[in-house]
Amino acid sequence: MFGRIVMAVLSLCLLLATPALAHFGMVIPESNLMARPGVINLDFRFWHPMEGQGMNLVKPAEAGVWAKGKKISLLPALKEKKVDGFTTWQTRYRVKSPGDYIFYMTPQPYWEPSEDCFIIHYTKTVVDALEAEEGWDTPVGLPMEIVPLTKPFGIYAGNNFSGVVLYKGKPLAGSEVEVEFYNVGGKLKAPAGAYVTQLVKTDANGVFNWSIPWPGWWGFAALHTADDYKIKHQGKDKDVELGGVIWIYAHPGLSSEKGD
Amino acid sequence: MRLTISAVLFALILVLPGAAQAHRISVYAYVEDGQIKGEGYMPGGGKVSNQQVQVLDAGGKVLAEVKTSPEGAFSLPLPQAKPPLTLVLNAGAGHRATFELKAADLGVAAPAPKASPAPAAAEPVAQAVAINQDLAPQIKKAVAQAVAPLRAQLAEMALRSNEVSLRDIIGGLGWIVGLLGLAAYFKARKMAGGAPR
Repeated sequence: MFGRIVMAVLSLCLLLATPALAHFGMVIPESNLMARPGVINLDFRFWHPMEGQGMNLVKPAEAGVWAKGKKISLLPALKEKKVDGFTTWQTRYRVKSPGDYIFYMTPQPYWEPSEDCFIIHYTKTVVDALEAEEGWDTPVGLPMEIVPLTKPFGIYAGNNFSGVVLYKGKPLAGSEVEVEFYNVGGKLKAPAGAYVTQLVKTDANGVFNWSIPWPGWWGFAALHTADDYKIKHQGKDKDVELGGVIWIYAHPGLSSEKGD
Repeated sequence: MRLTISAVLFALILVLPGAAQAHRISVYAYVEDGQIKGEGYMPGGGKVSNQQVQVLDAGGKVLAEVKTSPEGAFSLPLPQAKPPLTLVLNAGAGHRATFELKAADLGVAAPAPKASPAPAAAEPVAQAVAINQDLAPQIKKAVAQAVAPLRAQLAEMALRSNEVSLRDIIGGLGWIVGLLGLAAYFKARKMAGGAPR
């Protein structure tokens, strides 16, 4: 009897201790707007952005930039960087002319024991150079992808952000889109677990809408289990969770009056 | 009082249409083969066609003028003046955009020459020899053109100075092989010297 109680308490503790952490592929540029041609630094990682908990990102299967209808691989230019003891990747890219530059990565499948599946987060972000504002609504062609319907730069906190979730290039109805804030330095504390990862679902047309509550970098991860393949783990077929992730930056709202 | 308010309102009404630039314009340029090449454009892909582009020196003096093509493009010879140069695109009705070409831009922003860059660089030199007078500006131009890629390379090097390039690695390997070779040589000599003859 005593043993059973101990077991129950222990398992309850374990259950409660397992934090509601959502995984996010991250591609974060030093800025999402470039006023002049020049070099931009980019950060690639696999993280729990709100909780600030790191994970190791194995060297991605692909990393690149889409611009003016062409893709350029950045994989050879990736450099490893340890952050909080975890593997992340960095690169620099020279932007030479006006246009929208979509930086993206395809990670290698990540085995997640707690979810008993593999995770692949196709992640991207859009950088506009010299106010060209052209190209941001073009799909890069990732197997799972959020294509913004709201221009993904020049956004104020409080704005609505809308996007369509594409799975193999087609809108995906009823898809879950997880939303997290990139809590740099862990300054913010969620009042409860439910606030850590927010969630919205796509409508019949694969479209979702989200109001951005405060300034900073926000990640949207559309999730779907691959319906046509599995990956073996220790000899057994396991599900593959595909994520289409986009990162956008929201600027603080402007006000002509002081004190608000 | 009421008159003042209406005057202010009237002024506002006059000013607002100009201020609310629903279609902002931009200008962008780079230097390639002794030419300033660029484009006048609008957010979302529109082009600013048949409008004036001026090149100003640091003191605001107009050095050159050109009109954008129907596709918004323009090109003109790079005026010989101290950087920075400022390009001003004027599309009337308060639509004005500027772009500064800094010293580094006079080479760095240019993509790698697509065709053979030799004729463009050689031409002024050939002319200079043929004309045989007033050589100075021609030579200056030719030198500037010849130096531009070097300048670009220097800027690029400064940028890359904190990175390790493949060349650095190969260079490093070369050093290691060389030093090993040297060590092997001395060792071999020592062994040869120590060996009984």
